Amino acid sequence: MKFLGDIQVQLDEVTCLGIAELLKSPSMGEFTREGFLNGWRAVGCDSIDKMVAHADNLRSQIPTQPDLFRRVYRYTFPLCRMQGQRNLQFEIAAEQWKLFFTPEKGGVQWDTETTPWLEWWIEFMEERGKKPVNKDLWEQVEVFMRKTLDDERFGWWSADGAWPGALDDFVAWVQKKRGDNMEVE
Amino acid sequence: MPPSLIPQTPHKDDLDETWSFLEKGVDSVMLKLEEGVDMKTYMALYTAVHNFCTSQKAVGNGHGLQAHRGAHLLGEELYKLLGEYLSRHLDAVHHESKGHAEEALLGFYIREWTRYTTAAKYINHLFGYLNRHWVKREIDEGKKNVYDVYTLHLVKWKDDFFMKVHGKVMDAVLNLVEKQRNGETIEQSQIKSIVDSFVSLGLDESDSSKSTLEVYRMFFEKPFIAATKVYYENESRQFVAENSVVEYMKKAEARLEEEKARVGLYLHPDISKHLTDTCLDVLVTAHSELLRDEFQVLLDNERQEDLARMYRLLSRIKEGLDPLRTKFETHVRKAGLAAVEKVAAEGEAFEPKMYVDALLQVHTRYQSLVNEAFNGESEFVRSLDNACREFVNRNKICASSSTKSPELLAKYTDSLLKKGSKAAEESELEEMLVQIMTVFKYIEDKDVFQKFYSKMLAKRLVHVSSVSDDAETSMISKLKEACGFEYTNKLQRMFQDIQISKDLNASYKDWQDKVLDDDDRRKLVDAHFQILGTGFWPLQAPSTDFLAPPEIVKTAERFQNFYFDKHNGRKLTWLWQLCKGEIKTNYIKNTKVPYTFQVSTFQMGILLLFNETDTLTYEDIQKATTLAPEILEPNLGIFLKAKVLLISPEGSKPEPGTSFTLNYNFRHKKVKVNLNIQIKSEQKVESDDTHKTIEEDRKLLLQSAIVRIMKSRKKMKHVQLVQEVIQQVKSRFPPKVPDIKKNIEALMEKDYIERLDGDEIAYIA
Repeated sequence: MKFLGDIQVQLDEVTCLGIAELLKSPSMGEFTREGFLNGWRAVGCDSIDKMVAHADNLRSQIPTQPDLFRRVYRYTFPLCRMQGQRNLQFEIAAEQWKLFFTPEKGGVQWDTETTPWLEWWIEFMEERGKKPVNKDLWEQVEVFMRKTLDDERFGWWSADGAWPGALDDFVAWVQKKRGDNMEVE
Repeated sequence: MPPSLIPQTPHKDDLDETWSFLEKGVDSVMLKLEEGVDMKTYMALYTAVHNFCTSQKAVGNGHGLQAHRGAHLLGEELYKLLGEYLSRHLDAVHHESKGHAEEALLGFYIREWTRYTTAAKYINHLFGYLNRHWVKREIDEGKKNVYDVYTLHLVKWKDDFFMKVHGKVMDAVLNLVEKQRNGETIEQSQIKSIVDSFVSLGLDESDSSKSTLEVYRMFFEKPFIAATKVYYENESRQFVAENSVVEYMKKAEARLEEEKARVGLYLHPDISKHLTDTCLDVLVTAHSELLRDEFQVLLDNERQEDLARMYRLLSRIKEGLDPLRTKFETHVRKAGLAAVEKVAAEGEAFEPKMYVDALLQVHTRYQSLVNEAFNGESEFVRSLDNACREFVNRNKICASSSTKSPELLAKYTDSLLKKGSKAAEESELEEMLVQIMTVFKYIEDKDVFQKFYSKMLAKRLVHVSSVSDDAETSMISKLKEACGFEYTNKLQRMFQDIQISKDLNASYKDWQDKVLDDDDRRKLVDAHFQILGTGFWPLQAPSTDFLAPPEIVKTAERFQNFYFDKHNGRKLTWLWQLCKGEIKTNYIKNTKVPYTFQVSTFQMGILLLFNETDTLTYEDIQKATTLAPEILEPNLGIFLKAKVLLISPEGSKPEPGTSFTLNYNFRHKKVKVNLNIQIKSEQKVESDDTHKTIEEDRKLLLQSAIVRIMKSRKKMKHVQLVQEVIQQVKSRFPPKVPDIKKNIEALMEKDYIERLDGDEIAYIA
């Protein structure tokens, strides 16, 4: 924890998760010696100053580089999982989504002209009974997010597509809420 | 011919002399053949040709040409002169023909043609030498427009006569045909002769020994087809305006037959296809809309014969039937839906038989229509199948639940196979089973049928209430044939269990005889046991506790000892809810023959308590039997209703606080009294249970299909996987895509499979 402060990373920003991914941290705020050394060696940092600079770099790159973003996002699932559980508790998942999908904490803004996606997604999941989030759903939400930013009218979506059922239902939910026609071209 | 007229053979070198000699001969062959030509004249003419052709030097226009050809090949002059002669002759014929028209013209043409061609044969012989040498040589050298003498006749006829008169001749022919089409009798042989003549004139330019149909096609077929077209255009237009479509179809069919016959009567077969096509075009294609519009009317009125006619007509034109298929399909579907609606109007309580009969009736009616009227054509069969599948699976009665059809069908089957129903004759029963399979074929939720069927089969077997083993076997083998071994596996095992149980009971009897002492034997309860494999039978352990009466417990224990002796390590669960027995009453005074009660084991447990005392409280009974109230109360209710027991306080319902007394004054008109009546609530629960297990089984079926596919494919697109799953399970039930997706997700969560990027799914070994 102190270490994160040393390299000027807040606990509640995406960069923190980026560092965790870099150092292959097994759980929140925990590092292994091996992961720590390998991680920093890979990016050529051998001093606090360089680490601060790298963290800064991550901070600006995560929202702009989709591949990096996805890596960090996916790493978060095992990172935040409770000991011995397969799935992520809803409350934790919701926290992380709020982190990843808003620009304030170094994430990507998940909002479009007609649709406050993040807000609705959380609302939708709450309505469904705050069920734990499995790995597949976790990962697909991020893919889904990218798609909706490309085309918020769901032109890419089809009922026979490979989306997890929860996302299929969410599409219908959003369409109803937006008052879309039932038919989606 | 008088001998004096026989001219002397002309001088062989003199062309003029030779030709004038020949011309006389040819002329008499041409014009007076009927007078005959004697051998001598004939020989003289032949010789003259021979002599001329073999002469060393010909007088006349023989310049240097012959020198090239050699001594034996003279004849060009003769050939030319003969041609000129023929032209002159034909001019005269043409001139004469102007005096004739219509049938007279045809007569004239045929007469002249016959005379001319007959003469041509003789003249061809007369000029045989010319043919064999000069003509042959010319043709071999590739010279055009030189023919053997007979062909020369035909060419001349064509050029100098035919080309001038063919129009008129054809007009006459067509008028004649039109007369015939209008119903008049005509001299068909005339047309036949004309056709033959036209055909003869078709000469192959490159090889005169072969004939082609060019002339015939050009000058006969073409105008004939055109006239036919106009004729039938007019006729059909007029006929349709004045008559019904049904009448028109009769007319059109008759006309098509007539034209087909016409080809055989006097036309060249070459025209056949063309003529048929033209007639179909004008008679059928042009009116196909009109015909199709009538289709629905005919269907509505079940005019099988007219439908057959329409089928025959439209099947002969391109894509003529396609619109009918759609209409037919819709019609059958509507008929099916209407039939079901009628059944549904009866309210909730209709018999499964009514429902199945309604489905079958519609199917039978339209299947026979397809066979009789539509020639059993495979596309119509398919339309019928589509329609049936629709109305069997999606109709008013199925509206609440799509599994209603298989459930009702299974119930109907049960009613047929169960003893005591209006027992059908064996052959009749088999017939009905075949019909059930007809409906079964259309059922989409075959797994639901399987569930209900196995439940009911289990009951029939356990209660020994099958009408016959043969019928049961026959039904199972039918299902096996339709759905495969897996589908009927459990059903067959159930059947086997019953057979094995029979043997087991026999050896149990032997064992008892050896082991029991006299005391045991006196207290013996006559029992029959059925050992049913847990995995195959759709049966559950009893839902209530039950303390069986001591007599039964003893019997059961004894059997258990016997059984465990035989099969060590097996576990037996007593399905009390399915057991039954008979108890004899000795307490009732007012009857000579004691009554026998047929009871369930639960009921037996209650009644046997009264062996010790006449009155028991509700609580006593419950304590002694440990039966759950929802089982105990209805059974007590049955006893009260039959007046076996009397309740106090009088008129109350069986519940805590009441007590029951044995009725010594029990009366019944039969000696055997059946008290083992199924309780209503049990039935309902059973049906609900069945539906629940269906859902569970479907989940398993889907997941095992997914795992099976992924195991063999390792990696696969999501969409493809869904498609494959549908393929694999659709013979059991039509899976919904969201259900498949849900099960894919479930398997992901269990780490059987995982998602890769790009919608790909991978198998995790």
